[in-house]
Amino acid sequence: VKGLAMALLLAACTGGGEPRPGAADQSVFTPAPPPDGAAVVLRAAGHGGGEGERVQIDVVLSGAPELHGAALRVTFDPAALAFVSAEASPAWSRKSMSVTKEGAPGQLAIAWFEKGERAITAADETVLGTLVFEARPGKTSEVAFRPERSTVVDRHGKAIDVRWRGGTVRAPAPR
Amino acid sequence: MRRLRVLSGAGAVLALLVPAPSLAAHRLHRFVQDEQAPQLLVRDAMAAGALGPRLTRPLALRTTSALDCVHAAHDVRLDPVTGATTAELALEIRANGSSLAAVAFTLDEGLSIDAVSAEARALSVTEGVFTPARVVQIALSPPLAPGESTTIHVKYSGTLACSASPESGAVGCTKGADFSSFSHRSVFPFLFDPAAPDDAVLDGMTREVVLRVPANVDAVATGERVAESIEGDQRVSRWTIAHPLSRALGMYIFAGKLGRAEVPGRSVPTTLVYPAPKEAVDERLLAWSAPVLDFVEKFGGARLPFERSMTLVRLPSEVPEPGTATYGMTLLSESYARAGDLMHEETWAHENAHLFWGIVVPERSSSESRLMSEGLATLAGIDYTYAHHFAGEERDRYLARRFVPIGIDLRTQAPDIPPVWLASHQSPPDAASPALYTTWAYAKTAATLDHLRATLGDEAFDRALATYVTECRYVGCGPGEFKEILERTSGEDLGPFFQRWMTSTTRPRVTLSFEPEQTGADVTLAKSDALPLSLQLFITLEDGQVVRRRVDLKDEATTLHVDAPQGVRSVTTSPRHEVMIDARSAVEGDLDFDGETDGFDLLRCSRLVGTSYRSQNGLGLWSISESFDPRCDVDGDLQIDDEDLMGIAYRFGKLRPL
Repeated sequence: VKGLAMALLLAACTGGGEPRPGAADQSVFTPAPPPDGAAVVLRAAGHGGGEGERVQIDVVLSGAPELHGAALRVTFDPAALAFVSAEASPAWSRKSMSVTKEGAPGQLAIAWFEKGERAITAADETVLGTLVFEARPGKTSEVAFRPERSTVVDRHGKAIDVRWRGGTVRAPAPR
Repeated sequence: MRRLRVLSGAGAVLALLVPAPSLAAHRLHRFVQDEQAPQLLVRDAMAAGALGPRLTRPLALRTTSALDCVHAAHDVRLDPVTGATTAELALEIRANGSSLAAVAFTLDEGLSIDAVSAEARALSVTEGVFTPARVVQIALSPPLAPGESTTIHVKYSGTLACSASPESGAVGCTKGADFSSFSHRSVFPFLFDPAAPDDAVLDGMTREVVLRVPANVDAVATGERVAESIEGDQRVSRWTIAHPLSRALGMYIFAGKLGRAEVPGRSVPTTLVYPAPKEAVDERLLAWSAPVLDFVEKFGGARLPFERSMTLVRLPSEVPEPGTATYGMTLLSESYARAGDLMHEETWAHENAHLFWGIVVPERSSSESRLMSEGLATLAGIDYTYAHHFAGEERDRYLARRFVPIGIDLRTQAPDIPPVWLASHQSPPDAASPALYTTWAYAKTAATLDHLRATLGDEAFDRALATYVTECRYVGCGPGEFKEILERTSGEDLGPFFQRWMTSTTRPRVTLSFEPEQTGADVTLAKSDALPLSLQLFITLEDGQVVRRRVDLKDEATTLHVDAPQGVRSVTTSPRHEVMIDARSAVEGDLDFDGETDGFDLLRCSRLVGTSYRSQNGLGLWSISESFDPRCDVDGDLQIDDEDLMGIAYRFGKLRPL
């Protein structure tokens, strides 16, 4: 099934947060302004080139001293982006689980979590994982969380109060 | 080795080798064993021929007792240190329905009959010893004709042996200077009909007790306290049971160096009695007692009828009596304090709830059901704990959580135990298996009652319960009367409910799905049969608000529209139905009933990986494993592990389109 990835923690792409200057022919992810306080935000992780522009977006959590797991619902325009993968970052323990599926066109369900009453620390900015899309030339798409279908919880299962911010992917027009 | 001596006839001495059964050591099991001990002793003694086969054979064995005990006047002179006893009993009896040729009772084996008499009748006595009891049968010549009455006068005396049962270890009394206890199979006769020894039908008798102990000894007895005085070298106290109750009602004397403390906050003089000196546990019991008794009355919708006095007793752990309730008296062993304050307090509430359920409002027959005694007392205890310790929690969730272990035990440990309301051809689980009996009598009944309450709603249930108390006190009712009252007071046909869950054991599957709209949702419920079923729906809106709605399912599939001021997040049944209804989302793997399989379903279970359910033989109400979530146990092996998570993950990602 496309997009279903279920594995113990894999090496993740955690590249720099901003696109290279002058890369006007490459797809660009522009994050929305970050909110104050605890938040889950999307941030550019890097970008690919060549045929089928790839854009890598980090999912970053801050302000959560104790994190057991994340259930995320991410939406995008399927006419502009094709989902490639979602990988959990090394911030998670080796026993953690990662499950992702594009359950409906333009709608990703993601679950990254520890097993048992384990938790990781995400008090400071912590990359939880990286989403990879293939951008269609000339298209623009918002990539956003559905806050009512997303949560991050502590080791007791209690939801952590966070704000959610996405961003926009713009792919250059074909030459 | 069981000692059995038949003292009449040839005086044959028999010996039976009876292996001691392995008895569970849990608190509730002790309640069960102790509650049934007198009746089991009678059954075993009669089966072993304690009264001699020649004498019992001519009495046609009946299933329904003709013995109607009307009134008993006890006059007991007791030295609680030595056990020396001299007593008289004036027992008014009546033949009910058919002729009555004999009456029988058990006493401590150290007591023997000195004289019996009755006006215009010849009486003959047959005695047998079946340790720890002496079994006495008094035959009447001529027998009492149906409806005829007489009063039998019995004098008995001796020194209490207070022996232990070779099988269960149970004892009917303990002697001593500090704290001694004497139950109704020791000093007070435990009365039964030798022609129908197993019959537990309520007959309804009143009693008066005169208790004489040495003047330097303090003593209390079952009943309302009438008077106490010092007469010469004796302390004489008088007690009354003015309302007609079962002949099997527990009768007790406690004596020795008794501490007493008045329970504050009760209008009827209520005394906590304990082995002196007062300990910390007594302060706790004192603090709990008024709230418990107030709650018991609120739950029953009526005041307890004791006007002169009530006695609450903290039993020392040396007394092998776990606890019980009887007329105006509640007993509980201090050993229950080891369960922690919370469970100790709940057990105190449970036992005091029996002042209604089983005492003032007796069950017609304990062999028919324990729904209206143990079931209601267990439910009252849980309700009390919620009201006094967890009122900040959402009540439906709390109650559901308390019944989680019950549901698991019923499905995995006791799937074949009989329904809570037995047909005439059915029997309760054998008392030799206390765990199964406990699950049936306490847990299954309480779970069924709460499911009924969740279905009907609190107001309708409470109204019916209050009516049941009014109509059934001192009378003896059963589930049939309860059903009739429920239907009369609620206006509902509860036939299907009783058919599904009272007279049979079912857990029908109900499958839910819904299509959310801007305001509300279209909900579809499917069930596997055509029998009507009512339940409470829990509709969670997008802002988290829960809307409850009663639905009546008639056909196999029902569709309804739910109006709501906003979108609907999930639709499920009340969690309190879960023991009795197997509710599933139509989307496999959707554990939170939102119609999707996503991270919320996985996060529900991920924290529980590594947990397992350890069956407590129906004792989850008392020693609870609340964190185990059966929905996460996908493969049903009572462990939540990686395989379960993989099972949920396999179905991950079924989403509604945007």
